[in-house]
Amino acid sequence: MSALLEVEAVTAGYRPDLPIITDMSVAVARGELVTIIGPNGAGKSTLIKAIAGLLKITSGAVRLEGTLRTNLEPSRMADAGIAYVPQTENIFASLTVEENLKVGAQILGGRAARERIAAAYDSFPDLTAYRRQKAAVLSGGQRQMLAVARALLTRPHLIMLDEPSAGLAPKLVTEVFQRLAALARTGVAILMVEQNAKAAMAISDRTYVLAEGRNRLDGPSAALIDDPEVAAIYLGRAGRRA
Amino acid sequence: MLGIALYLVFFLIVVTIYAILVMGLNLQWGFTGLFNAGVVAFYAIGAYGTAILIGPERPELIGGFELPFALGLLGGAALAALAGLVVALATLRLREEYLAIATFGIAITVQLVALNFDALTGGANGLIGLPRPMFGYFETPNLYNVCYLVAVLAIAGAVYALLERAVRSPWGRVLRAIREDATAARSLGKNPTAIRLQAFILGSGIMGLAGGLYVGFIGFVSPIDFLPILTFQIWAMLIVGGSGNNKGAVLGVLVVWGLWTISGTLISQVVPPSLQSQAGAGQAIIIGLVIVLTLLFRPRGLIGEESVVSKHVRAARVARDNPSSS
Amino acid sequence: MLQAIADGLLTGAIIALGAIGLTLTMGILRFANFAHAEMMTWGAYMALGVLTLFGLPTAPFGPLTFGWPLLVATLVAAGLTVALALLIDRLVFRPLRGRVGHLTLVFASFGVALLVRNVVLLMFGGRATYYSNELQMSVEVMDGLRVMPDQIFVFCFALVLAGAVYLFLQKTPLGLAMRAVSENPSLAGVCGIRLGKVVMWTWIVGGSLAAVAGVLYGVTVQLRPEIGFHLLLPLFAAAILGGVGNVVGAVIGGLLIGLIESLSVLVIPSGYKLAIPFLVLLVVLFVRPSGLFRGTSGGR
Repeated sequence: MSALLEVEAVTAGYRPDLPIITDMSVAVARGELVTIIGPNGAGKSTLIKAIAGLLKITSGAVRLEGTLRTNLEPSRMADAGIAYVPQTENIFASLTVEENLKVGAQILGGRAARERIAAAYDSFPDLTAYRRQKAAVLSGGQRQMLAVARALLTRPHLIMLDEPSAGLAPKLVTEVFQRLAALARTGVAILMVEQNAKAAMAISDRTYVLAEGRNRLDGPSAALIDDPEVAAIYLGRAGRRA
Repeated sequence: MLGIALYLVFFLIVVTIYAILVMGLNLQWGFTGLFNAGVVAFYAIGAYGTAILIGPERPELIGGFELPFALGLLGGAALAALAGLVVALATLRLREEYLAIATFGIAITVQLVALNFDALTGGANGLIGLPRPMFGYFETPNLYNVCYLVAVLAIAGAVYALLERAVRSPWGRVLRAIREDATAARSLGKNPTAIRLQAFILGSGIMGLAGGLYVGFIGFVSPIDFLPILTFQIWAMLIVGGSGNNKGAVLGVLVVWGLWTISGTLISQVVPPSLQSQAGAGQAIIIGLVIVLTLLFRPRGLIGEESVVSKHVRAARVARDNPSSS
Repeated sequence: MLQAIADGLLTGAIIALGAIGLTLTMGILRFANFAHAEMMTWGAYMALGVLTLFGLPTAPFGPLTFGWPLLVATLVAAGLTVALALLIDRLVFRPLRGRVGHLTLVFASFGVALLVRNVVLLMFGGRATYYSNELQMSVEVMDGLRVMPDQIFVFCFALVLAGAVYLFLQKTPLGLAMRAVSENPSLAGVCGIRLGKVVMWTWIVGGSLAAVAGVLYGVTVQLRPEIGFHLLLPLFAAAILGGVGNVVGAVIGGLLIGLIESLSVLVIPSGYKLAIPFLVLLVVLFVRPSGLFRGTSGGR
């Protein structure tokens, strides 16, 4: 299996002298749905921020289709086919819904951009009514939709999502996971960080368990979902959770 | 020979007063990370405040309280601290640079008041004939100056000792912690705004003290001594020596004020009078270059900050990075 | 009273042009650029330099004191101001950006402001000058209101230019990218926007507006090396009053600051006029620090 994304022994953080993740490795194959779980402070969000080019990687390598892409500017990672949806502030609240999509489609330019934006409204019809309104008026679920719609405009090879289900009503959570599973079936690889471990593992191919900024376990989700060690990692670090 | 010695005394008095000013700024920027773009305002408020409090009564002027010099000095410092309180209260809870903008504004305002409020400040002529403390007890003005130098050195030493103690106290460690990482400090239950406010006010008061000492030395105040360029000079002194380090601050005063005095003397001797204003621009350019080049190539200054990494910062980071353990 | 309002609106329009550039840099580059107002001084004097160097005639248009030569000189000056802005960014701000806290950038801009102001003083001397020696008669527009034709031109030109910038930001892809970066630089980067390009365009827009504002100030008031130093506070006040990053807000803020400054002379001695923007700023910071209008990155 040739990996689409290979992250090898990456160390990164907000300051070079204070790494938050150490020697972390993750791989995602084409069309694969991979979940990252772990207790609070495990470094899950830090990992995908570092892959997206938002944090300085002090050692290790990020490869995309075999090409070295470590510490590229975020916009160059986007060009290379990696889309990233942050957990919060993942839309431009001061811009209209349409403008949000235009920003996402800017690298395509002209006609292609218009067609993809039209297609985005078809996939997310709920957004159509808000086209000319500021994204600030959207509800939590609608914001998440807009963020994902924006990320998909460029037809990325890989989309990274930071806690897509956070703060959503239980019914919406199910819907989000269903849509992500459907998305993966279209051939887009997905790497998502989730607090909602069981639900995320249920739809994903493989799972990585992180703790204290390091890899702890990984394997097929089906095998890990009932693994007592996963629960132990959560329990060991955060007694009240899980 | 005597002439040189007397000039040296004069030079050293000014250097010592500026050193106090720089230490005040060091508390604000070097230890707390607050940008004061109007140093000259606090210096001027201290000077005018002292002058008005100790000045002889004159019918055409407000003030002239004829207070003892020591009281005048404290009063001037308190007024400068009060001005610091006003701008800090308006800006400290907001974006960091708003303090910079507001202090720049207070510098402009103080300059206008000094120039225009004739009844209080004497306008463009300033306030003259101010009593110099204990002047009558000395036989010659020269002897007086030597003693004034000793007195100013003693006060500068006291300020130095006070600040060194303060920044090494628990209060000073919290100060550094906040400068490094305000969010982390807040998470430990320290109120960054209140502590920054204290540091800013104390720094402003120290600047005011320097202003009062200057008045005691020259016996008058006028707007010409409080030009905007002074703010830039004091900043150059601070960063050349190395902000966050009081020894460096003192060294920076010697270097920058020496450069300024020498270049000023050269210009007045060599450059024809018609080109003096351009030559003054040349001096200001030197100060600007000193600031920008130091920031770019030697941000820690000649000496640099003593590396006291705050335990608060470390503790807070650990706590933040592993919130689950709390 | 009427006269004070007219004068205030005129100064306000010039402040507005400067404040647009400042609010854009504060919003997109995320630091308060103390050197911005000095770009106005630089621009104004570069236009003077072009006029003198090439010995261009005044060639006035109709009732105005200037003609095509000043327009050409302004274009050249705008180019030279953009060049200076990009040079400073390359030599000073870019090396510091990301490496140090953003207050150090503010500090660096403070030093740069001193440098630019004094380079102008060194090149042109400290005396007040004018672009043209033509005398102009003011026209009585109505009872108690006299204006110069130059002033009417300057006011209209400033507003048209502000409108053009607004359309540029609203209607062009580049303008959209600038607004996106202004709200959230990391998200904009993740969306594929080149931050370097947006930063460059911010300097281009801000620098040319500053140059034009400087020339307009020179036309209606006079040229002095302290233009920028005296306008810095009004510019900051206008940008903060209008909400940092908000271009329309900066224009309204600029007009308001000009008006308040001008009307204040009716109440307090004119010697304190320069302090008025500071008082307005203090009131805004105490009462409504996010400004009158929604900024992109105001408050905190």
